[in-house]
Amino acid sequence: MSNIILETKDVVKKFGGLIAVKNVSMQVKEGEIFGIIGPNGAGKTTLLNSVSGVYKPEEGQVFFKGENITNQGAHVLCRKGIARTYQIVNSFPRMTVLENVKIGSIFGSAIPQDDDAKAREILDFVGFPLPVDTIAGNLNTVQLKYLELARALATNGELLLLDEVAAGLTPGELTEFIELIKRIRDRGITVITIEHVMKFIMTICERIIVLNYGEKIAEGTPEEIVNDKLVLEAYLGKEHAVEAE
Amino acid sequence: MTNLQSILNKQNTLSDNKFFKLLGVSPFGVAVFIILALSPLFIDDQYVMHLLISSLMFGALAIGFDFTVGFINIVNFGYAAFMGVGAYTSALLVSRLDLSPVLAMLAGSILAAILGFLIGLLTLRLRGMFAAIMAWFFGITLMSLAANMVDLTRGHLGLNVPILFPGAGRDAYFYLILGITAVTYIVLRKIINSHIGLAFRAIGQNIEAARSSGVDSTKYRVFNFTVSCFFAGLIGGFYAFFVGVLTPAVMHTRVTVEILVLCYIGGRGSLWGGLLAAFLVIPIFEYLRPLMEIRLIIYGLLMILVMIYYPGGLAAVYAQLVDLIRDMLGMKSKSVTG
Ligand SMILES: Nc1ncnc2c1ncn2[C@@H]1O[C@H](COP(=O)(O)OP(=O)(O)OP(=O)(O)O)[C@@H](O)[C@H]1O
Ligand SMILES: [Mg+2]
Repeated sequence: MSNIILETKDVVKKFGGLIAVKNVSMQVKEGEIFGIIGPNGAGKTTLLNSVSGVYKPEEGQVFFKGENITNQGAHVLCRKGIARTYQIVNSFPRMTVLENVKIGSIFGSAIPQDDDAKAREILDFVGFPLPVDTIAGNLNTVQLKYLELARALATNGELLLLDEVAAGLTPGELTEFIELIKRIRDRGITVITIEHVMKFIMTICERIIVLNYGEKIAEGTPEEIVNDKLVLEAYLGKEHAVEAE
Repeated sequence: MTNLQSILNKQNTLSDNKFFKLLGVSPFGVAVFIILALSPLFIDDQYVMHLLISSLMFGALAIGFDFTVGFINIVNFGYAAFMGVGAYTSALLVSRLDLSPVLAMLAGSILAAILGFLIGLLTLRLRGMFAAIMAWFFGITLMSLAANMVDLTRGHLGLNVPILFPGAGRDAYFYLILGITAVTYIVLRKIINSHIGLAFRAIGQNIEAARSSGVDSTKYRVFNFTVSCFFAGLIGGFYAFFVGVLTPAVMHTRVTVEILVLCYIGGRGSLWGGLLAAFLVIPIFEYLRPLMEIRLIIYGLLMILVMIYYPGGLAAVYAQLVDLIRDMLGMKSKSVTG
């Protein structure tokens, strides 16, 4: 059995009266591509935020490589090896592409890597199409996604958290992106990805959990998930799910 | 090769020179410094010297202000109060304890830096506007303290400050503030050009992304406030000896706003822009002294105009100019920092 790289135990995250994540437990194995799906507002992003130190969960624990990392700050976790991207792309708009990536390699890596060579190598790896001295503020959304991914990879993380990176890609871009994620996994990086794009989830994820109203309602391989009655209900509503059967 | 092109080429090779790299200044900046340093030899008019000193003083303050607003993107509305802390501390240490002015100014800067550290901690969890308001309240509190601790500061009656250079003219003050300005610029430029500066810019442009990329925003924000306030305190010490009388008015938000306007006109994030702006704006305002009452209105209008038409300020205009000349000469563009 392979090692568990990330584990959550009964994580609860509330916003005022709203319980956005309700007692979610999961185990992610080293080297796998792990999917999180669920309808809008299910709590997927909130769960990732609670794992990566952006939010502090009210209850439960998060373990990374066996260490209890609950309540540790985002910058600390980044250096420990948890890299991430955001659903709404984040960049440093008045910096060049190269500087954006260097932020990751200088500050986010356990051993700071200062040289441009490292940043250029990562940009090549993700296939970034523009000159490295382009100002990030001039990029389009898809380019920004690749840039953010490059910055995350530059931190030398062992675990990469992706939040709907495939959303909005054309079919051609999607195929390329799926290849990229596989190459990232082949580098030995574990990937947890939130996705609505079914083609992406079905082709690439080894295991998936499904969230609905903050609760984990299913867990398994893509095949198991598509045949799960609760999941169909969550996505289509009860009556339609019955019809679909 | 045209003459201009050879000059620009020369500037490029010189910029790569070890000496200039070490100081973090461009050959152009050094040339300006030398011209300024020689200017007292040619200027007899004490009033002109006075204007030069004022411009340098406000310019240096603008450099320290831009170090915060231009990089971590927080307006330190209490900035003038930190300058005032430096001013009162050095004045009191010299007049009450007979401390040497140099030590007194250093002590003033350190006290201002400690308070800067504190405001850094206080505003830590706050973003943009809220951090600015917190800094503002902090500044108002400091000013009220200065106004009310009458036994120490004489409050609004004004505190007389011992003369720094008895018998000497303005030149001594000029060289002192020229030195302080140069040190302020070089130290802050060195920090900005280092990784620390990169972290500042990351925090200023997107704090969430910065944190998730491993930048310890707490550490860098507190450090930024501490350093910025240290220099505000240092320049404040100079101010005390130069002006000779201190009232709590020096700590007023009005003063902060004047410095802020210099920064914006100069171009945020350039460090040197505010200094250049000071040389243009301060003399004009000194001439307009009778219009003191509407001074702030003029400042406000100036700022609105800059924000609408030249959001990048003088620094952006300069960069465009350099690029334009390079394009005209068919050279590859390379941005130059002051
Ligand atoms: N910062 C916040 N403050 C208050 N409520 C929030 C906050 N972030 C999320 N929520 C609420 O928590 C719930 C879960 O939101 P979350 O963003 O985690 O959903 P999601 O599964 O990522 O949805 P989507 O697919 O639309 O991205 C929603 O009801 C949302 O409105
Ligand atoms: Mg989401």
